[in-house]
Amino acid sequence: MNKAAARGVAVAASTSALLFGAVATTASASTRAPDAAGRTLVIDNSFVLVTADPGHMFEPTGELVVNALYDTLVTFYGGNFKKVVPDLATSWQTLDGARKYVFHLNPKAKFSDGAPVTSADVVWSLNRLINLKGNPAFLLSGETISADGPETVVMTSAAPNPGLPYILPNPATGILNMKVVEAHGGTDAANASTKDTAENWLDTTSAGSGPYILKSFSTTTQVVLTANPNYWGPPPAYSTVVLRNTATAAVERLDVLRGSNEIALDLDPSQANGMSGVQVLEGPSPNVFFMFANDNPKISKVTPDHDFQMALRYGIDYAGLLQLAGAGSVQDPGIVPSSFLGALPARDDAKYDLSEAKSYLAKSGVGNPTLNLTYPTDLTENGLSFDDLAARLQQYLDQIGITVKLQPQSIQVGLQTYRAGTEAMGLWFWGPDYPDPSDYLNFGPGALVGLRAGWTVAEDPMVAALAKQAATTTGVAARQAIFEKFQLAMNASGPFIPLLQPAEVVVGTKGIKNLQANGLWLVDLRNLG
Amino acid sequence: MAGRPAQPRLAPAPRARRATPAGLGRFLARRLGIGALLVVGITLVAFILTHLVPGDPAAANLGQTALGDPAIVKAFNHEYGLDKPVPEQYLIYLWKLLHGNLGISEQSHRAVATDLSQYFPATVELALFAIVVSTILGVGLGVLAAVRRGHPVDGGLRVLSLLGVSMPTFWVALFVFYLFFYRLGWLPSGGRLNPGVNPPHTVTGLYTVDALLSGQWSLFVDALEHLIMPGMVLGLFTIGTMLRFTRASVLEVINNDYVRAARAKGLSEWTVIRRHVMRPALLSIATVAGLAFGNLLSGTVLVENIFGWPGIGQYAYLSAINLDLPAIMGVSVLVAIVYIVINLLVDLAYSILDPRIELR
Repeated sequence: MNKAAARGVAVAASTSALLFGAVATTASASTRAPDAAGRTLVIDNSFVLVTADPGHMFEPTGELVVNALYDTLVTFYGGNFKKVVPDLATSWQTLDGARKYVFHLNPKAKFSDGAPVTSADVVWSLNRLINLKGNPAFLLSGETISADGPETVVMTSAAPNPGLPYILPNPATGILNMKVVEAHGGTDAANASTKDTAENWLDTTSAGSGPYILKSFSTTTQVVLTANPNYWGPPPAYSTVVLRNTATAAVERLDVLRGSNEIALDLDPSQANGMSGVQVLEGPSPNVFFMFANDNPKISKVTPDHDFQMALRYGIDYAGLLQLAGAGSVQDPGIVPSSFLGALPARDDAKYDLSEAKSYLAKSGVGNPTLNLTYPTDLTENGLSFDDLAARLQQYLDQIGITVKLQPQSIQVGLQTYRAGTEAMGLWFWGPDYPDPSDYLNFGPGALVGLRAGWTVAEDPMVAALAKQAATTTGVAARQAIFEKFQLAMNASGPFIPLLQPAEVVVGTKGIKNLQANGLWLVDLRNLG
Repeated sequence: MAGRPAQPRLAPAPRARRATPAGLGRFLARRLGIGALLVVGITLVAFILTHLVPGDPAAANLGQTALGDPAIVKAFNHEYGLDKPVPEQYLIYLWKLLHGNLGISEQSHRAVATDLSQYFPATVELALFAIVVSTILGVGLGVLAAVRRGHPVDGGLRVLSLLGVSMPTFWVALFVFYLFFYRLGWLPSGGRLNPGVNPPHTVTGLYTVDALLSGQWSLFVDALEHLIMPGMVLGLFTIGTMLRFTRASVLEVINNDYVRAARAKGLSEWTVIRRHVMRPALLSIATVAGLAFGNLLSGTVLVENIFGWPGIGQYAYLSAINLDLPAIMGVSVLVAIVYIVINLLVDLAYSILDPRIELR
């Protein structure tokens, strides 16, 4: 073998390496599409995205997209979920004990094609949402929608619905241009669930009155929005917004640090820790992590015991859990998140008291039980792993004499036992369907989640009565009071132990003005400066 | 599903002869027939397995409160045919499959065939890039290591090969991203194109090819730049494997009498390697390359995840965690077809590389 031959082989082998090098050295001269018209904003997000059709959309990334494309009757400003503010409706009245609402539309409002937004569009859009029977249809369950003139919309329901103004900001209730969508297969008829064919079209373009219009849509790569030239409100700060699907938070972190992209939405507190030269916003997410001890004696002889449940409540080191969840997380005194109307103040936080916990356990007479704790092992929410959280709970409860056997389940398997109400102890979380405390009546006795913890009306008629009263109470102050009362009663006698709200982290480059995290639509594109 | 390609039977052949067109036709018809039966078998296995997994597609795809509304759950189950008995669901699936209909994805609300036509070309482009680069590097360096056996170059290349097959993909991917994107700024971040750039008009779904076909040179460069990092990481394992395999294959033949005779004839060393050493080694290399390409096509989930590459690996992963039965079935059928076709191509390559091998 002569050296020339070996060199020839080596040269052939290194051709590919040179290809890497040659292209790599020319790379990254530009990192985004040229934007002659104005400013471009690039947002990194790990997509949970199905559609841009408001009638079908109920995913976090979808809410961000649809909120920028479609106006709703009312909305929230920034991250303040306690105050409903006008959007398409300039004003509204609550009548007949919250059974009837009258919304007065802004006559200036117009769609992206220049057509005015009328009550007919609103009625059609909301009826379509209901009749599509898609994921968000429950938001307007029981509502009848009608027009009273071109600028007035009336919504009525048989039962009082004081939470309706807090439900309507959900982007799923976005108003579509009726004539345009009908021309592309949309219908609000009762059989819309089988006859409406507009979803695919609405994934290629938008037909709303929001500050942006849809330029391109992919559930896997990127969504591109451009400023709506006919927008009836203040023009948006960016001419183009690109949402880029990034599955890895570590990649998002480097993107923002390098300034390649402007906003990262999926970092957890530990990843955001120590980042400099960027804006780091950390606040409590509206997701509530909770634990329950099943009230059903057929599931466990131990967990229904009230003293045992109290032992759990006092036996958990909440500060330790918050340390695990990172900066920005908060303890949850009740099941309603701290940023919503009806939340309990921090003074009502459960207190960690080892001797009190041991005392309750002794009083219960259950001895030193061994119990299963079921949780989803493949789920991480706001960077908080259920595995880590469950391990901490196991450690804390061991100190008071309760042996916890961890039962990690894949989310799909765990959901089966959780929904069937067959878990002795469970560790789960609740993400809000809408930012109103009425969503949390699901935790009451005999309600959806209450039954998963074996909590029936017969078990606790007093709390059930409070839930019923809370569902129909109107007025901000009165609702705040009754929901506080409901949660305090839950804490005193119910099977649920609210643990914490993990941190929600938004990281942006320095140049972005008015950057705010939003528990519903991740970041509010409308308010960015 | 992955397995060694079926070795064509070696028929005693006194002299080299090419397969006749009729023989080739019979071979292809037989293999395609077997392939079709295999695909049906795989649909049955996949269908049974997905139904054995405890879980409710409605629960996986609907929100918690929507799940409490019987009308919404009923509409969901009806839309996806989940309200029918399981055997009937399978027969309906087969009937639709016969008509080229893979069903509607429960997660994307689009036809599974449409989804696959978007995701699969992305993976094909990545896998093709990785296999071409890793074959050139792996084979070239493997030959170099063999001819320099015992030399420090050989030692270095063997260490490189070991690193290639043993380093965790996730770690390598993050390291490469950190180095080439964040520190050096030589390569762009993840995805297939820069943010906001529109993809070329779809012809093949391979952005580099489509950009060239439409004469968009800057788009071609953009797409190529985005291929490099995931392609490097994906190809690293294959380079290691190919290097080791090539080295071993070359060492098997490099000291044979006919190689010495070729050298004695005065042929240049390069000609000896090309004609007399590589030729017999290519059969094994083709087998490894075929399997490696199949693995690259079906095993890219980690790399796709880190580099935000919208390929079939991500689609399969999302389908599995969302219990999206039509999508899971669609991916299974696609992967089965990929392996069947690759095995067939490798078998055909045998008869081209060594005419003594007769296709039956």
